[in-house]
Amino acid sequence: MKFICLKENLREGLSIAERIIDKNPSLPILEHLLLKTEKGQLVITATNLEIGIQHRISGKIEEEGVITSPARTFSQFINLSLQEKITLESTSYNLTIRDKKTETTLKSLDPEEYPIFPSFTPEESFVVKNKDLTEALESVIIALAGSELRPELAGVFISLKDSGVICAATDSFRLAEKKIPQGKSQQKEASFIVPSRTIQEVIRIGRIKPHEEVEILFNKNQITFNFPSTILTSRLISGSFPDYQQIIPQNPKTELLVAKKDFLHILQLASIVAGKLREVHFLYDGGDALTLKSRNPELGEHRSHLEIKKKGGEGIALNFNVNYLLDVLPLLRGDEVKLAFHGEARPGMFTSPLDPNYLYIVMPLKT
Amino acid sequence: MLLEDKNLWQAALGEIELAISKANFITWFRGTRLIRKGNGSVTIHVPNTFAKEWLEKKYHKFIIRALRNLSQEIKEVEYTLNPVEAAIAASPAQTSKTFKQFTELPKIEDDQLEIKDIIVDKETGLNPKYTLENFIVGASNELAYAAALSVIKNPGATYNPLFIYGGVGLGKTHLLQAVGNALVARPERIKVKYLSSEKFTNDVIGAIQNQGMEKLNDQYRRIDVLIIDDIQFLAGKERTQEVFFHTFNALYERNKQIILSSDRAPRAIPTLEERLRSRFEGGMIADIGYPDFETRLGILKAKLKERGVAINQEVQEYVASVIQRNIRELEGALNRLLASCRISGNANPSVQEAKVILEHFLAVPKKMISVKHVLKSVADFYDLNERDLMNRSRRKEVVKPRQICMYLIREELSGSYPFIGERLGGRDHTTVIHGYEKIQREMERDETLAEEIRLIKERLYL
Repeated sequence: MKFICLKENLREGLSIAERIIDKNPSLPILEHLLLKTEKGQLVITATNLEIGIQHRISGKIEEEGVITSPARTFSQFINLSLQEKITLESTSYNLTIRDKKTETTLKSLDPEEYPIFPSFTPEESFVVKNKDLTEALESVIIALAGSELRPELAGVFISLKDSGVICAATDSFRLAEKKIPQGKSQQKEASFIVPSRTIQEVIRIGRIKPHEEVEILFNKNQITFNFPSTILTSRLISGSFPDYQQIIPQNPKTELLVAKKDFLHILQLASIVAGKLREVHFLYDGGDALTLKSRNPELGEHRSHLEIKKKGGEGIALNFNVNYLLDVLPLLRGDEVKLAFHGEARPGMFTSPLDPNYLYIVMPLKT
Repeated sequence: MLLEDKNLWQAALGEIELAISKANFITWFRGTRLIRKGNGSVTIHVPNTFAKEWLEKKYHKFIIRALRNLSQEIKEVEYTLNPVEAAIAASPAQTSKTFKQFTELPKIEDDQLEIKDIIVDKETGLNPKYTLENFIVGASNELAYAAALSVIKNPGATYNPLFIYGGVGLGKTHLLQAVGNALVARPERIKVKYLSSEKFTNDVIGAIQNQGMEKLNDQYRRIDVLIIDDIQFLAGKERTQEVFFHTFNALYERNKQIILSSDRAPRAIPTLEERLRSRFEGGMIADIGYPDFETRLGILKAKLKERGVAINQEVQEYVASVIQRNIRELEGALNRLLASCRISGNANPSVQEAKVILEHFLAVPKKMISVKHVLKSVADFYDLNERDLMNRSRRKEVVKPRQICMYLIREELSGSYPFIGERLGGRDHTTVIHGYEKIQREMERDETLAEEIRLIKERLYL
């Protein structure tokens, strides 16, 4: 194989592909990238057996062929290269990386041993703009369960409805949902759960060309994201995501509008002396200010008042985990935050008045 | 039938393992399972599409050959990704869309409410997940269960009040809630209210502060069935006990059912007003003891079924035999085991593997307790001051707890008699010997005492 390309294209492709490679895979060849010329381009493949990435870069093919190369070492050299063009040339089990001033030869493995990139028969497909997808995913992954104990909660739930695409995630203490409205009414309804690791990669790749579109194909077990130059395929999480619509609270007893900047600031202050449970007490008596208190028996206590821009409803006295709130505030659009409370032991809802498609609910701590 | 199939695949794997490198074997065959066999064809479940491709294209010949060597009738092998629910009887829990899905995540801290808590009915305080059907009955709780059934049949008539007591994590709340749920489900509208005594206390305090006592009394007297959990927390709260006393009477006189739970029998709750104690004892008292092996196994099976997961019988028996304390621990061990299986991809661990996984779980190092802990626990339990235990007082109420301290320090900390004597107010070591032996003797005669000491020990190690 002999292939010449711009270093920058190669570098970008490598950085996309190598991220999913396991640090200590069970099979040494999994640490390698597969490099293959195909239809006028070089296809770089990487996999950890759960996720697979294929990225295509353009260049000049002087000789077709296929070779593998250890991902990390390969990319280290490419990252450090100061030249504009790179030539990749392979001989039986070696890959030579050549630029104007340097030449490196890395040992390869038998490309026949490289896992076969799975093809699958999709049942459904849909298209979204990268920007919309990454924004939606970023705004819901904050609510993900870190633990694998309940696998159906260890991923983002994506459902396709007439109105559009809905992404949701929860760790059973808080839940985030974001809708991506689609203009025309789509295919029939479907839903699936994407593992969190895959979501992270989708976000990274989606950020590269935000104004392009991605085609998403899926069946019961597998999903593929077709980005302009990259294909990402991953398993789906089997199991049913809980029917969370039931728990989205309606008819708030109290609705308050506050300035986001001030709210964030006050929460940050309160979090310093929040106790082990990270609890911050929200006290509202129907007046013009919301009082936040936090206390740590060893350090001390803190209290502050947050001016309310628009008030309404009953008084509240509730405790929330401050980290859950700090997680969401930076993601809410605009300068204001709407807080909605529904009574004791019922969730609080935090939204932006500018974005009716996003909601974040948090269960309180026992008072 | 399944066991045979499993053995078949294990044997085939054994042969395949010899033919390929270890790295390859682990990568491609880990997590594979035989899920169907019949008519000369075999279906193997694979954990991901990469494995499917690889087995189909590269190892198919090995696999068929290995299988045919063991069972000649096998002519074809298929590979599927479909989750193994196909093999395990599809449990309704998997397909159900309700909140039963949100079963216990390891609680970070007890105070943080979980979304599933929302399905607790605000009016009644009942959580629909607790039912009589999923309450496993065994020798240790059949009396309590029978009493509960009786109450459901005839609330307010036969066993009133019903007092259920027992150690931590044995199912008291489950039973109480199950009774509540069963009553609420009746066609005639029965007003049930379930709450913890803590909440009751808070309500009382709130009512006192806001002059809402009349409203509170009114509210509580309108119900048909009052269920209060952990009534022992009323100990020492005079005002609350008084309110509770009047509420109790108001309901009892109108034949309204009262159900209570506690961690110990009424006579063992210190600073409980005599008039309340006698009322509790006037009804039906049933204790829930530690579940025996059969019951634990039954509970384990029920929980596995609820989650739609299966582990083999031997491992189940192992877990049931080795976790002997309470049901929460059983569930914790189960969670640990299942999590470990998911992470390792090995859905069918052997007893040996289970032992390793649960090793850390079981060998929870005995919490470092000191004399101070013992004194504190005993003092708390009997509602005394630690100082009382150490001073010269010979009041009966103080002597027994003091002797219990002597017993515990000797038993749990292996303190020497002189050491114990010194720590307990400069007493002579012979006093300690006497105290220790007295408690030892009494424990054999008096079950209440044995029970109390067991509870204190539980608290020590919590």
